[in-house]
Amino acid sequence: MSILKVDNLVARLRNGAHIVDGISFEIAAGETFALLGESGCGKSMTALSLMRLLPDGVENAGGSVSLQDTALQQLSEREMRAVRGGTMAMIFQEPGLSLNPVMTVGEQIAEVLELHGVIKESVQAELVEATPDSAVAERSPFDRLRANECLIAQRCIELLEQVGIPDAARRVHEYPFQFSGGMKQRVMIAMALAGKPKLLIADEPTTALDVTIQAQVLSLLRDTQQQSGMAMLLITHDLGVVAENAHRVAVMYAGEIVEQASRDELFGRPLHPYTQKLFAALPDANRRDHQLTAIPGSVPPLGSITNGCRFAPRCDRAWERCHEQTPEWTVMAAGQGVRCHLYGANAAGREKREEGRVEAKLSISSSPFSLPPSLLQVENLKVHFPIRKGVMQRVVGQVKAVDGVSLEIKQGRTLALVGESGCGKTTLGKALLQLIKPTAGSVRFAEQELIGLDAQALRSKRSAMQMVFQDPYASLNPKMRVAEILEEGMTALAIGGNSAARQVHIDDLLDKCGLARSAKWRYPHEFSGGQRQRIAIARALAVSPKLLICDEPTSALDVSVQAQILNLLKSLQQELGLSYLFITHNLAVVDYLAHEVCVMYQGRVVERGTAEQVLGSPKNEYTKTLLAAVPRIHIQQPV
Amino acid sequence: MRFTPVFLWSDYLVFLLVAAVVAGIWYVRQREHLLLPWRRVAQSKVAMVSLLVLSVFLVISLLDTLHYRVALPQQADGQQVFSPEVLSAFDKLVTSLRIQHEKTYSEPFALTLFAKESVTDANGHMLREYPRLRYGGAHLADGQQRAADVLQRALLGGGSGALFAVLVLAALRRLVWRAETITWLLLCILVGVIANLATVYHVLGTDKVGQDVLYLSLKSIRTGLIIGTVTTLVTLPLALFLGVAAGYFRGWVDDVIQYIYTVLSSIPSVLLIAAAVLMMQVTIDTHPQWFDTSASRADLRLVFLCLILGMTSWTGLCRLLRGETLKLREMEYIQAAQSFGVSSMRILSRHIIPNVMHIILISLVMDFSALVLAEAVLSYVGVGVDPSTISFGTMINAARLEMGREPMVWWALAAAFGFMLALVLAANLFADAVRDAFDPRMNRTGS
Repeated sequence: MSILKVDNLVARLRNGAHIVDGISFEIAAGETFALLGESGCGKSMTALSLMRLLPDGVENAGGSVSLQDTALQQLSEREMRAVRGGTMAMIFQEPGLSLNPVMTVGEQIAEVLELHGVIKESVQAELVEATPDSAVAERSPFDRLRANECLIAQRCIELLEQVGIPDAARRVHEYPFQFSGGMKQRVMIAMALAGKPKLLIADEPTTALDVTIQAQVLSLLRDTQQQSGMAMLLITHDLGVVAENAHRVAVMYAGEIVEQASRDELFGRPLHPYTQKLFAALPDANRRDHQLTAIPGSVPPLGSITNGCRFAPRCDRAWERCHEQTPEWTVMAAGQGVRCHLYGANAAGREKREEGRVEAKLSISSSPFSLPPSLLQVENLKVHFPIRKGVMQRVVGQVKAVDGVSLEIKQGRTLALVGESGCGKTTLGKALLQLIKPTAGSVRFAEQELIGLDAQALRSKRSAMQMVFQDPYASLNPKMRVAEILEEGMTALAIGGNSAARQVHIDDLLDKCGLARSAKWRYPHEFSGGQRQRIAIARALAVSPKLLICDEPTSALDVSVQAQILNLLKSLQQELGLSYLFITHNLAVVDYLAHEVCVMYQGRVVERGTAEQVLGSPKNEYTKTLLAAVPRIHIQQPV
Repeated sequence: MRFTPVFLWSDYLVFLLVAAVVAGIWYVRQREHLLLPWRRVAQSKVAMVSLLVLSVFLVISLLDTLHYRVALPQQADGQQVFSPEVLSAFDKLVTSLRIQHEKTYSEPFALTLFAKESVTDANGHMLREYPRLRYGGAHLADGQQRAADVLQRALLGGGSGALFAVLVLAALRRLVWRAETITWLLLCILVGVIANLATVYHVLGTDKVGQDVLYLSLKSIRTGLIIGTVTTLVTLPLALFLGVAAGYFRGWVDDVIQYIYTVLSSIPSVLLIAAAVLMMQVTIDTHPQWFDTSASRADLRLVFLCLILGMTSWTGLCRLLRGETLKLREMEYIQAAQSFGVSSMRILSRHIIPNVMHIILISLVMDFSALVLAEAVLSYVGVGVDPSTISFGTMINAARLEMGREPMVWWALAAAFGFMLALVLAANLFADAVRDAFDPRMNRTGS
């Protein structure tokens, strides 16, 4: 018996481009249904159109949604308001932005309780139980109101306890800023649960959270589901989260569901080439010496493909038919559905394509140098930020962002710095570059001490160490063209000869980073996230550094694009003998890329060693927790 | 006719601005990627229409900037003597408007004065009646013919305006039905109608001393534009440099700049301006030998008013820019530049200032209208422009006194209102279109 039934749902922009194009699925009670897809594939729009909360400029253009046999499209806006938060609740990606900062969390939960009248009924019921029938009528309305308020307050505390907030009776009167990110998401879940929903839509509920917090929040969601038997629509791009939480999965690509199956079937035997590629693009230790199977190109712009399969331009198994004819939805045995010509009734001509798949193997072995010389040595580095108070700005305390870190990077090797947000890993990276002045300690680069150098002396050292930043959208000046961006470092450090020689160098860099030379005269906004990250890498390489500090370079990117960037980094290392300090929270990437690993916790390095040691047999308690929290996919590798 | 050119202080500033704009255009024309956003401006209908309206104002004020003095017939010591009256090319163009003074108020298109007066007729009787105007409609025998005459002249003027517009379009080979050409046509018709009517009527009436209100309004445009733009010249470097420096360097630089603008903005600005203007007034009055004409004295006062307004009004923009810079300095591209060892000045000029330009543009245009209004307020307090300078402020100020009168003298106020509205609206719409065109998300180089 399905709670939610979506049939051929279409959402489109005013200009006619379809964002969500003919989506159908069902969710049964007590089931978790995952919508999996990369950014821009329309999964959030699907959720919003279920809630009928589509943003301006996007309209619902057909299809039906029925929730417990109520057709939502036919409801008036007033009736729909009762459904939202009542039968159907939603939690959002960014807990910091979805709570009102000027209301206490208790007030915000109480608001939901009042609106959806959950309490009123139970008050009535309790009163009936507690007193003889005649007494109910005698109670004044005021009394009833008082009792109601009391119960609401009580229920708020119950809900907070249910989502695992300690000392709920006190914290119910606190404001959102007094809660951490994970706690805020718990409050959001409590709010969603307040209306006793039959269906919970969770739109990337843990993307903004750390791994350990993510594990807690996900297990909370699973427990709640078991208790209440509600259905859950989980929207995510994270394959690990899907593998651990979902019962059934639909894979979305460019507004369409391309494959739908139960979790075991999907992970055991993915059918659609896109799904297969997605799995192959995941970095992990087994693929260490191989190049990741990146999907070339990026998601096509909305409405650009009207005929044929939307994945065809990026698919290496596509043939003429894929470009000409839109594939039909094909249901295979065991209910697994797929939208691909390979499995259609008329699948002739596909066999010859399959042989073309060869996994490129990188020629490096895991330890080409027996003992590479050390490039960067950091000893007991401290970065403290003073806390100032009062009129005279007296220093009243220190925030110890980095507190005595020692590490060493060898030439041509990769050191991964792992830790959760706020552990000081980014501060450490910036302190190495002397962008933030370290408080104490020593940073020796190629046997030369960097700390204490004046600006002039430091400038000559700048070219040897460069940084690649996390957010490719914030790391390129939108008002400068690519050539100007790449040239800036060379001009500032007065290297690369005259401007003609620099232009040649820029062309060379663009080739190396897999960008067209014509990209030179364009603005960053004309590129996709992955291309922008390539530009950022090219910018860092422009001054021929020996060490590249990569601060979460792939965390803002989709899995398939992440694979492209990781491949690029790996081949650059091989080609140019670069060393990397790879700052990340993604352990799978560490597994794939790093030679050595440092685990950071609250400003200190808690464990250090080779990647196999640290990830294979962790010694430290924190490392163990961290590793246990990572959602894993247990796929039977096809032989 | 012999004359000598006169260059007032404000004229130099206007020429400076014009030179800067011309140099800017030349620079941009050399560089394709800088030209691109301006191409988009040129494609925007709103931008082009408002630019067309704006350019009418600009042409008038530029003509009004070319000052000269006419040679008088007599000679002194063999030297040519020039009239003490400073005229402009625009004055010459509208001589009839300038010299056709009535006695006092008259309504738009009126044939008689606004108030009854005692007149003695041929028989020596004293009569109370509305006397006929000296110039307005003087060619008409009686009021019955007025409507037909106005219509006829309007049609004639509009017709010739339309003919001119079409001829120009044909010469430019732009004879197409588009928003820009329609606006051009309408503007030409409007100018034609007004020009033809203004020779014999007071189209917008006359003021208390009988000056033509249309003439006053047209002359006010230059004063308004100077107050708007020259003040900006003072405001912009101060606000831009101090705001960006405070936001980027933080620390004691930020503290000092913040203290300065907090103190400055907590002093009532009218008080500050009044004090400064009065001090300047005293200086000017005690040194009459500095000025050879009354116009140059009035002009110096105008320039100083701009400076004083500029010195007191940079705080708002400065605060905005500081806030935006605080946000921008945390952006990763700034850190990338820092890690290349790019100098702070270069980071400010290459990375931060281009990214706060949209704020500057919008707030400058907003300030422009506020400044034109501030001038009116200051004139009301008595610390504005020189009373002999024609400006929207002095017009509104004079009209204000007659608002309580019954029947009301509405036309001076309405004229000032209408002209200011057109000017500020056109500037706002144009700035809006420019900002949109410069949005980096629109910056697609095609191909």
